Amino acid sequence: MYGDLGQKLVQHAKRTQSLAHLPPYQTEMVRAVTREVRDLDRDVSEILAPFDGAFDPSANPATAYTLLVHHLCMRRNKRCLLAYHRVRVQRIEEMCWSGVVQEDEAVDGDGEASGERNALSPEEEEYLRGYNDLLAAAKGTWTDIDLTGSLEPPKDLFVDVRVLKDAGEIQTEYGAINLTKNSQFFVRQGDVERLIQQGFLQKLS
Amino acid sequence: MYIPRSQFSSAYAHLKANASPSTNSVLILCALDIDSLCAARILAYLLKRDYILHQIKPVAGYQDLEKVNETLVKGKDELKFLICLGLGGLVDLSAFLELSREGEDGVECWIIDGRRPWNLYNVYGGGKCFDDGDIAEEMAREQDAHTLLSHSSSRPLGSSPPPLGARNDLIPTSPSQHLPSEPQLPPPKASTKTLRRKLRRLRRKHESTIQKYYSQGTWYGEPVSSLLYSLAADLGREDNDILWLSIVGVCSGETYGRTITSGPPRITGGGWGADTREDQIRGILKDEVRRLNPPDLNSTAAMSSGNANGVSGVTALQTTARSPSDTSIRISPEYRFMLIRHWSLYDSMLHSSYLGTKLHIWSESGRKRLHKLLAKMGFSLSQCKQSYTHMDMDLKRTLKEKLERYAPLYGLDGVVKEGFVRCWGWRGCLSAADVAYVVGGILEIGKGKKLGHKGVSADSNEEVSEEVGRLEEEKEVDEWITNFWDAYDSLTNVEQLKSALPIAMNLHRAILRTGTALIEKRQIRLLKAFRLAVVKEGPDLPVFTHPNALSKLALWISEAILEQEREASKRKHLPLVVASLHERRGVYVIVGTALGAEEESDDDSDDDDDELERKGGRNHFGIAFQDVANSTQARIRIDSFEATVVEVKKDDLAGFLESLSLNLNLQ
Repeated sequence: MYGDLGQKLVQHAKRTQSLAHLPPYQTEMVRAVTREVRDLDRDVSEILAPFDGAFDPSANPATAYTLLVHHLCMRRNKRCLLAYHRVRVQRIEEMCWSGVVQEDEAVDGDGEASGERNALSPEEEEYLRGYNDLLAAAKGTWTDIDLTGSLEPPKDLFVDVRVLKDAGEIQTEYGAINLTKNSQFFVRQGDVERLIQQGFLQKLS
Repeated sequence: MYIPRSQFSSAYAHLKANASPSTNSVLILCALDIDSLCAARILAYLLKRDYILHQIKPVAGYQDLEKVNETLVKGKDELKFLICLGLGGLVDLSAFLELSREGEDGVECWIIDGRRPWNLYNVYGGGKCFDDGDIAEEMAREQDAHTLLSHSSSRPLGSSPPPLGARNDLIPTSPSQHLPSEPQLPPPKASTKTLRRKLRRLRRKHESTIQKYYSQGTWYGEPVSSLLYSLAADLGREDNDILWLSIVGVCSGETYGRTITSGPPRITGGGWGADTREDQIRGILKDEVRRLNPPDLNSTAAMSSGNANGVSGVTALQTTARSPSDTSIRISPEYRFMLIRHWSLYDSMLHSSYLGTKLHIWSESGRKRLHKLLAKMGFSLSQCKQSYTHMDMDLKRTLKEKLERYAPLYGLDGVVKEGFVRCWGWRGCLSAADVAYVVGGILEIGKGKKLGHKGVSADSNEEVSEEVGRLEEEKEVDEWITNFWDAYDSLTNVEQLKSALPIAMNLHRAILRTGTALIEKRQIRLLKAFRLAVVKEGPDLPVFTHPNALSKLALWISEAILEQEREASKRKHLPLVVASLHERRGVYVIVGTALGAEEESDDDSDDDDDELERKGGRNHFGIAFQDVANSTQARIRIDSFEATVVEVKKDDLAGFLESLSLNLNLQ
């Protein structure tokens, strides 16, 4: 049936919205949908071929309806594709803003972050990089304000955090803190905000 | 140096003044037991109020401590305070950690530990020991001896590899090495010889004093959490949460048979008429409970009206709070049955070590005796097997009275004891002992792991290779530390505590099963100097890989044996050694208990009252294990902060036990 695959893709996008992690890019499905569009287009061309550019819909309404259905199917498929990609793009931008995906060198080789990366298609990765650059450029203009920071004002100056992964020594405004696995710290919230976002630390309520 | 109780708050003020406001200058090391856990929570609570940045790091054993030293202590300039909770009292910590001593900017090491004997180098050397009164009141002789000895000879600083040799550098090995150097003496012209002889005599006397102190064995002083409570009280910051943590910490000692055996009760402290140090501490806690939770006038009115209606006051156990916001702590008469609020009366009686051992629950006749007791009390078995909260109201009300009437017939005196209960609104009510059982369960078994689940032991017959052993060890330590944080979180979260109840139940089912099996099959061997029980098969083997779980089993068995022997009216009781096979690592975990020894000294305490009372309940296995480790080729690892826990390679067990019994015979 025409549009079945598109439907599937949209459902996939819908599911993505409620997932915590971005699922892998559905290359196969996207390709199948585009193939369907192309097939439809070919059909349309074939139907129109004998008329040689002088097709009168009122003369043979049956053909006209066929063409209309074909056209609507194509348009629907296109919208499905757009919807799917919009959801993905939104997620990618979100990732950039929340700082889950840092500049390239920070995540390379790290298990979880690269897992997130594998979910992206090459084009999406390109987009991510470009967006990150733009974001960095935008942030660069205002150095004294963290645009990607949390919008919620912190309740306490200090927080309890537990170290989930060895984060090594971090430099803070006043000195170094050595974050070793399996220990609990009581530290200034501002110092560890990023590490909490990146999943190195767990904030205790 | 040591800090007496009156100085706790000024020590804290010193910390507050000197801790850096912006970097981590306070590191709290915490042992993996309930008492230290509670103490860590109290301390963190205090520090948090003062916005002092700190780090809490759980430490599994001496090896782990060394690792922590490498990564967190050594060469860290910003570190100023190192606080050891429940660890390190037995070894010379500043030498072990190679802290710079007497340096102005050096690390200050606080040692808060309930284990005794104190290492004298901690007390009179680099560390700062929080003193519960022992040091100031009872150790004057040791102090003199120690200061004189350590001043006259340069001490080999951290020369021997701890922990095995940690105690060795305290007991002078060769006298010649320690002879005072000549120039230190005032220039005696005429009688250098006589002076030297005098000095030598003096030295010998002091050495023997110190030797005597260490050779008493190991015992327990005041729990760490109770010490920290008095710190909080000194600072005027005590509240119900802190008090509850400290109560749980103190009550946890009971579940491991760690009674405080430092000596007779203090004269100075409150709690009049207490027979033991333990009662005294409980007395203080009780006073605090009363002070912080004044009885509600309305409820007493309700109680008296209840009395007027002919219903006798509140005699049933409290299982619900009075109001949704009721989070107070109460003193209530508690039965010595574990988890009774959450289990059925029958199960709770069956699994509690107090009742179980007294009734000889391991045998068929013992179970019959339990049934008979219940029958005499007029409790039908079908009622008893229901969960306690669903039992008939009448039965619950009369339970205490009936128990008090019939229990003495079975030798169950003191089955009802004063305990502590805390409610968290409608969410639940837990007694302090139950919390200790539950948290202990989390620490020893963990939340995720299934009981009775067999480890990866396909090649259990083969020798476990070094490499695999080490990996398993690391994994185990990791697991323990995960459990520590689980326990840390659930200590203040009643929902998590409730969800962990089944863990504690399973643990005690396993203890009953294993203990019964050992006694029924007569697998507890009687050796000349001690009794020996070896657990090496059965479905519950993985449970007892944790030394603390094994201690609980040892406590159960030793109480059972004690009971049997008391009935056979034997006067001399032998201590008990329990070994449990750790399949995955190919080692035996061994625990020595002193319960028998304690009784022994009680029996003939009239001849030399003072001396014997001092020695009551001391565990000599710590020393014996060290001696054996030093004298044999057996592959032995002493890693636990508990001196009476040791690990021996699977094949070396026989040799180890042989030399152990030889060693104990000599003593």
